[in-house]
Amino acid sequence: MSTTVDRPAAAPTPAEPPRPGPVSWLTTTNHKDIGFMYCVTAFAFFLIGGALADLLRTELAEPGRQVLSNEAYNTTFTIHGTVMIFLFVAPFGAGLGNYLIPLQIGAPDMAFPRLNALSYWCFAGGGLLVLLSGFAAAGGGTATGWTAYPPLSEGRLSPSIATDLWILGLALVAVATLLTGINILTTVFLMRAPGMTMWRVPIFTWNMIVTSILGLVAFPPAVAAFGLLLVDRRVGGHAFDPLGGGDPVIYQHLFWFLGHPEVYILILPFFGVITEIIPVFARKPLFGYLGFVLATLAIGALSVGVWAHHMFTTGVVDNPFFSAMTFTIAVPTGVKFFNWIGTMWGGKIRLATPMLFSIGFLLNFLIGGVTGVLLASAPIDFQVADSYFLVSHFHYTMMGGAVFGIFAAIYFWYPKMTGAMLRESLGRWVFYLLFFGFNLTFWPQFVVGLRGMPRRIVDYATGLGFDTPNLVSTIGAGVMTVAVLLSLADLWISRRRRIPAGDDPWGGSSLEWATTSPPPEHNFTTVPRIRSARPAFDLHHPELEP
Amino acid sequence: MRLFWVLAAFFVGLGVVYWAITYEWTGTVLLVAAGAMPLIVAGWATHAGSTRTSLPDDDPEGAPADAAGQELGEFPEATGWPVFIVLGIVLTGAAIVYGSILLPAGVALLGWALVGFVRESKH
Amino acid sequence: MRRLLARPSLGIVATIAAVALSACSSSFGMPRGASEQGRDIFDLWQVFMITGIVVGAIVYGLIGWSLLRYRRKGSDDDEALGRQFHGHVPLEVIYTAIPVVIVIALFSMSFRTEERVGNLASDPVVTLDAEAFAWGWRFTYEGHDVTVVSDPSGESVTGPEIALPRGEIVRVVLTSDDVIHAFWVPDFLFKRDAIPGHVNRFDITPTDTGTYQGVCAEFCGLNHAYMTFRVTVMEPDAFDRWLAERRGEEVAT
Repeated sequence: MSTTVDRPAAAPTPAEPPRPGPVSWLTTTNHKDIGFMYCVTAFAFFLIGGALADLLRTELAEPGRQVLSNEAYNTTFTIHGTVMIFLFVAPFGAGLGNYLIPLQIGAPDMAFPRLNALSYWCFAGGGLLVLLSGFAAAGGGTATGWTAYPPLSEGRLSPSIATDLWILGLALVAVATLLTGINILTTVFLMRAPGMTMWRVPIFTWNMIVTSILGLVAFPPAVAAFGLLLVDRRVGGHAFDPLGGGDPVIYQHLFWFLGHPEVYILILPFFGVITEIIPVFARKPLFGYLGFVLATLAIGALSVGVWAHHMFTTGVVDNPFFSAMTFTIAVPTGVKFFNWIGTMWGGKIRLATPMLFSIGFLLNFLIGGVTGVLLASAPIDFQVADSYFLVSHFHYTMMGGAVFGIFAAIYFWYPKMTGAMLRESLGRWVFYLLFFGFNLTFWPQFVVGLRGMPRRIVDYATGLGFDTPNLVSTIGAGVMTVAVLLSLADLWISRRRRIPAGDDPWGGSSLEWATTSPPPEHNFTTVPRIRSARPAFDLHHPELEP
Repeated sequence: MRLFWVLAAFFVGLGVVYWAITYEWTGTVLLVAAGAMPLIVAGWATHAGSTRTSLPDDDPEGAPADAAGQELGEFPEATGWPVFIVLGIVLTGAAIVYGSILLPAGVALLGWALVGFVRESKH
Repeated sequence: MRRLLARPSLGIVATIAAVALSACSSSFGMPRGASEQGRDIFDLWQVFMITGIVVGAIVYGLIGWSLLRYRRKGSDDDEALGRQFHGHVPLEVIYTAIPVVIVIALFSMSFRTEERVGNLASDPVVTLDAEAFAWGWRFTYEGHDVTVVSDPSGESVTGPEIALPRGEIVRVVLTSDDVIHAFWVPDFLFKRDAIPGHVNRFDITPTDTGTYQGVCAEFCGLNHAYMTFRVTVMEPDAFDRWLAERRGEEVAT
C-alpha cells in the first residue's frame, strides 16, 4: 500500500490522522520514525557501552585486581569499543541524517523508504548479535579487542563461537551502513526542493553526503577482512596465519582501510551538527560556507589515504607516506575551526544548552585534534601508540567531540522531533557535569600514557606513577555517569510535563524550522521560497532579503 | 556528477603515488579499488544526465510552483518485510554458529521475507 | 620599578616570556629518554608540544574572546542579530596557508628524526634476540650463549631482567612465537611490534645507567598485562661481567 505524492504547491492539505500504536514502529517506512528509532536505539547502546566503561574504570581505579577476572575484563573492553563505535555514534549520526536530510532539502521522505526500514532493522539485528557475542556465548565472550587482530582472533586462540557471532553482527551493521549511504546520496542528489541548489544545502547535509561516500568506499574492505577471518576460523583458511603462508599484517591493512575513514564517519555528522547550531545561537550567517564544503570534502578524501598510521609500530609499512598524509588532514580541520570562530565573531551569542555543548565540542575536539597531530609523527608514535595517551586522544575526539555533538543535537532538535522543549536548567547541569567529568576522566590518561601505561591491561603495578591518575580518572567517570543519568531525567520530565516548542523555538536557519514541530507526515504542507542557504531565516526576516 | 569524477581520479591517483613510493600490494589495491566506487556513480550519472533536462532543484530561482504537481514517486506506507528479513538473517547466523537445527528455519524465513519484500515493490 | 609595574602590557610580556622559557625546558610529561634514539624523539616531542600549545592557546583565546565580547547582553532584545557577514576570503586563504607551512615544517622534522631513529648501524656491539610469546619473553645474547627467559609459572613481578651496555649500540632482533606482541621500554621512548612471520630489527644506544620498566604493548590475550620485563643499563665493563656470570645459562626470572 503506498501513496503517490505530488510536490506541495500553495494550498495546504488537511492535518494527517494520528498514527496507530506500537506495531507501527515495526512496519513504518517514514524517515522521521526511522531516524527517531535509530537515535533511541543508539542511545540505549550508549548506556550499555557506558556501563561497561564504568566497569573498566572501577577495575582500574586501584592497582590489583578487584572486580573483574582477566577474561571478563578483556571481553568488557572489546564490547565497550565495538558498541560505542558501531552501535552508538555511527548509527546516531545515521539516525539524525535520516530524520533531518529530507526536511533540510525540502523532500517528503528519503528516496528508498523501505530500504531505509531494512537498514534500521539490520542495525538492530546486528547490534543484538554483537551483544550476544559479549554476554551470551558459550565458551566465553569475544575478547579480541574491537580491532580483532589475528592471530589472536584466529580459531586456535579464540575458539569460542562468540567471535564468529561478533563478525556476523558487524557484517549486518555494515549492510545497514551501505544501504543508508546509498539512500542518503540518492535523496540529496535527486530530491531537493526547487531553488535548493547544492550550494544552498545545509552543511549538516553536506557532511552526511561525505559520510555516506566514505561508508560506501571504506566498509567493503573491512567486510572482506572479517569474511577472511571467518574463513580462517571455521573453514580452514590461512589468510592471516603465518604458519599457513598467510600474513596478519594484511588484516591490519584491510581493517584500518575502514578503520580510519570510520572515525571520520563518526565525527563528520557532528561537525555538521555544530555547524548548524553555532550560526543560530550567534544570530549570524555561517562564516565561509564554501570553505566548510571544501574542507569537508578534503577531510573525507584524505582520510582514505592515512590508514596505516595505525600501523607505525609494525615496522612493515612506509611510515613517511602515511605520516605526511595524516599531517595534511590537520589543515582542513583547522580551517573549520577558524570558520566556526568566524561564525561566532561579531555575533550576539546566546548560551542556550545546544550552544554550550557546541562550545564544549570545540574546546574538547581541539585537544583531540592537536594530539592527533602529535600522533601523526611516526617517531612520537613509537612512544605513545598503544598507550593510554592514544586512548585519551581518541576519547577526546570521539567522546569530547562526537558525544558532545550528540548531546548538542538532542537539545537542539528534540523540540522539532517531539514538539516539546527540554529543560534549560537541567540541560546546563548536564553540560557542566559532563564537561567537567569528561576532562577529569581523560586528562590523567594522557599523563599515564606518557609515563608508560599500555592500553588494554586489566591491572598495573604500583609505584610506576599510574596510581593517582587512574583513581582521578575513575572519579571523573563517576561524574560523567551522573551527567548522563541527569540527561535521562531531563528526557523523562520533558515528556511528562510538556512545554510546547512551536515551529521554530531557536530562530533556526534551515528548512526544518519552516514546518511544524513535529512535522506532518510528508514534511511540508507548503515549501517556502528558497533563495539562500538560510530559507527559514529568510522567511522570518523578509527585511533582510538576500 | 563532477564530484564523483574528482573522487575517482583522486583515489586512483593516490594509489599510483602509493605504489611508486612503497611497492606495497595491499594498500595499492585498496586505493585503486576505492576509486572504483565513485567511478561507477560518475559513469552512471554522466550517462543518465545526458538525457535529462535540468531539475527545478538546481535552478537558483526555482519556485515551489515550478514543481507543483510533479509526481515525486510512490511512498510506501508501511511494510513488515524488513523485520522478517532481519529475523531470518539473525536466525540463520545464529544457526551457523550455535547449531544447525535452526538453519533450515532461518534460511526459509529469510527466503520467504526476501520474496515478500521484492514482490511488494512490484505493484 | 614603579614605572615597570605601572605598565600592565610590559608585565604581561614579562610573564609570557617567563612561562615560555620554562616551557622550553619542560618535558610535558614525557620521559627525557635514556638512549640516543629516545633523546632524539624527546627533542622532537618538545617542538611539537610547544607548537601545539601555541596553536591551542591562540584558538582557545579566540573562542574565549568571542564568548566574552560577542555575548548577547541583557539590553539586547530577543530579535537582536549579529553582524550579517558571510566570510572573508583573504582571511580564509591566510588561515589555510599558515597551517600548511606549519604542517610541512613539522613533517620534515619528524621525517629526519625517524631516519635517525630507525637507522641500523653496520657494527652493533651486542645483538639481543627478543622472542615474544604468550605471555612472556625469551632474550638471547647472540654469540654469548646467555638466555634470560620469563618465569614459566607466571609468578614473577618484574619478569625477565636483561642488561645493556651504556654508550654502545645494541641491535634488537624482535620476533614472536604466536600472536602479535610489542616490545616497549617507555624510558627509551620506543616500541616495536613483534609480529609472527616477521622479523623486526632496531638499534638502541643507551645513554643513562639505571633500571627501566619494559612492557608488552600489543594486546595478546589473557595475561597481556603481566608480560613485563626489566632493562638495566650498566657501564660496559660491568656489562661484560654480567654476561660472563651467566654464560651458558638459561636464567628464568
